[in-house]
Amino acid sequence: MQKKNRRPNFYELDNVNLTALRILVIFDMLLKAPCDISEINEKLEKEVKDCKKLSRDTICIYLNTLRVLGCVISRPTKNNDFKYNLVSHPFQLSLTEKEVETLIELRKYFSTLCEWRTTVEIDNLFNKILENLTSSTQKLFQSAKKNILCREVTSEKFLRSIKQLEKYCKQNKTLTLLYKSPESGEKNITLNAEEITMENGAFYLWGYSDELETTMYLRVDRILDIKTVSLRHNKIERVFFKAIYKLKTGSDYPSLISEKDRMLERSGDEFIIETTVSNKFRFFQKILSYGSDCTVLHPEKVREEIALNLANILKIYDETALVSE
Amino acid sequence: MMKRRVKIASSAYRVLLLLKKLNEGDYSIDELNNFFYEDVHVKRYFSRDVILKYLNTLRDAGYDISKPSASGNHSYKLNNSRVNIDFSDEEIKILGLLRKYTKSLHQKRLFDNYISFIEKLKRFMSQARLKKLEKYFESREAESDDCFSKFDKYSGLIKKTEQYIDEKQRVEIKYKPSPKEDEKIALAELQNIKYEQEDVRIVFYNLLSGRIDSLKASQVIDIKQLPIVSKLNQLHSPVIFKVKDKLARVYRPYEKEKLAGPDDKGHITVTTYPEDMEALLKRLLRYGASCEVVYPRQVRDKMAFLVKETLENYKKNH
Repeated sequence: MQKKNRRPNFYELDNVNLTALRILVIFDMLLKAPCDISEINEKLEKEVKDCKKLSRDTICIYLNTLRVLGCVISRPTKNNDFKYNLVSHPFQLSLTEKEVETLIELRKYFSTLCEWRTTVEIDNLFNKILENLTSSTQKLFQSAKKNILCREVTSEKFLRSIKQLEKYCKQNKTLTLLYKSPESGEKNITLNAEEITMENGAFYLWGYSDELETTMYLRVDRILDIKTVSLRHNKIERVFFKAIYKLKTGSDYPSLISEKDRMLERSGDEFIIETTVSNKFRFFQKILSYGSDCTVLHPEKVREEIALNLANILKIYDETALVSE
Repeated sequence: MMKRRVKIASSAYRVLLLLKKLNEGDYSIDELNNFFYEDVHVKRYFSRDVILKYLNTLRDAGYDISKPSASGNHSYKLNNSRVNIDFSDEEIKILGLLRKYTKSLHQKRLFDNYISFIEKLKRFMSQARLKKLEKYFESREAESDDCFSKFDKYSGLIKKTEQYIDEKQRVEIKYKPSPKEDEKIALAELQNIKYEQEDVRIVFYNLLSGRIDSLKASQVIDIKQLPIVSKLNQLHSPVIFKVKDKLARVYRPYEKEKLAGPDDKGHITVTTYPEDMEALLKRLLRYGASCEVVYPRQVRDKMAFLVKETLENYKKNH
């Protein structure tokens, strides 16, 4: 006897594909949790009203259909209670190459803004999106990251939470860190944590080292562990010096100079700036990066050191290479 | 041995294939039919009625698929998904912030791509999260902050440059290197637009020097399109420099830089195609004696000249 169609809204049996409906129900089940043949049958009978109990072979054909479409479904074994488990599927978020590139370009733009908190939040968001992408989009995403963010350090590389480090900076804590130095390998470094910054695509922890009597900056992605955290016992007796430099720019007051700088004088496009130097190496790098547009005026000792640096660079180049321009 | 053919439910496979394709993008009936023809498990076309039946099956299963309209490019659009991505409030805020920043960059390509990404993402969000996202977009839109308007003055130039890059025509760039200097003209093939913290750079292939070059938007007076199509067989001249000592161990390459080495002395060789020669040389000067320009001779000479010129400043009495 033909079974009566009990589906109330089965107004047009011809207008839907029942097998597809059943497979979609199975897919929904697998999305929620692993399940076995009897659970699948139970659900199908409940959800698709005129669905009779299906044989193991039929269910296998349905699962194979999903597999051919790109779903990875593990086979039932003793270890997984004889349940089918959906490992991955192609119905996740799928983006075009252009969409992926735009996202990565935006991340790169944020690197130039040096806003480390927002950049970390963007990294976290992108990681969540990455987890929910189809495998082909994941590949596109990783490849765009490799090409466009080749210089950027992304926050998933941090072994210690940057937010935790920020907390220690705010609490004026003294930290002993296990640091992976590119020069001397793993070593312990003690510093009084001050602030986190982002420069040239990398995140840095700044702090004062009593031992070296200088402000240090460490790449956050190279901090392997926080060994000890303690309160500062004494007030830090900082060793720093004031320097004055002359900077010629083609525009107005340079917007990229730091808060530690103070303009003393201006004549046309030439500025005389006083600055507090807490890390001499960084200061030299900054001055040299302006080329001949910048000259240190004071102190004399620093002038001499920079001149010596320049003379050493000049030695590398053959004097005969100099051409008058 | 012949591979055993896996038995599948053919018609159901076609329905699910439609779902997979609609998950990737919006398509018309004809485009969906082409997917059937191209698929190794289908390899044939179907009537419009059959495809409509398949779409109806998906609707019956709870998928929201919009009907094609002129505004939607006569395509079917999938509006929901079984997969839910649960974004936190912070993440929703970042999505809104990125939208605002994307708009502030004034490039149609970036904004359109971001919007289509958001449209796809919306399928995977709950109604409550969607509401929050829309609300956040609205409140961000009303916000006026300097960081969102700093490139507004270059909006026209950015749009024009983007259009000319798309059209792949040669251009004539009229520019002033500095306020005191005279106007100059460069014949160029536009490459891309780059954003810096406070500036926008127009990157182009300079037809006269045969180099990739760039100008700040503030230096550009006008860009005029020429009736000549770009030849994409540009020969780019590389600059090669050596990085030594400790720096060689920590050097992170910039975009388009290729590293070789280290050699037996631990030095690495970097090949780059600079967009701004002056900026490159100043950056290399920052590395001090740990860096040496090796190729071409002309750039090596320029570097030596820059060092000498800077050193001269310290020989003068101040």
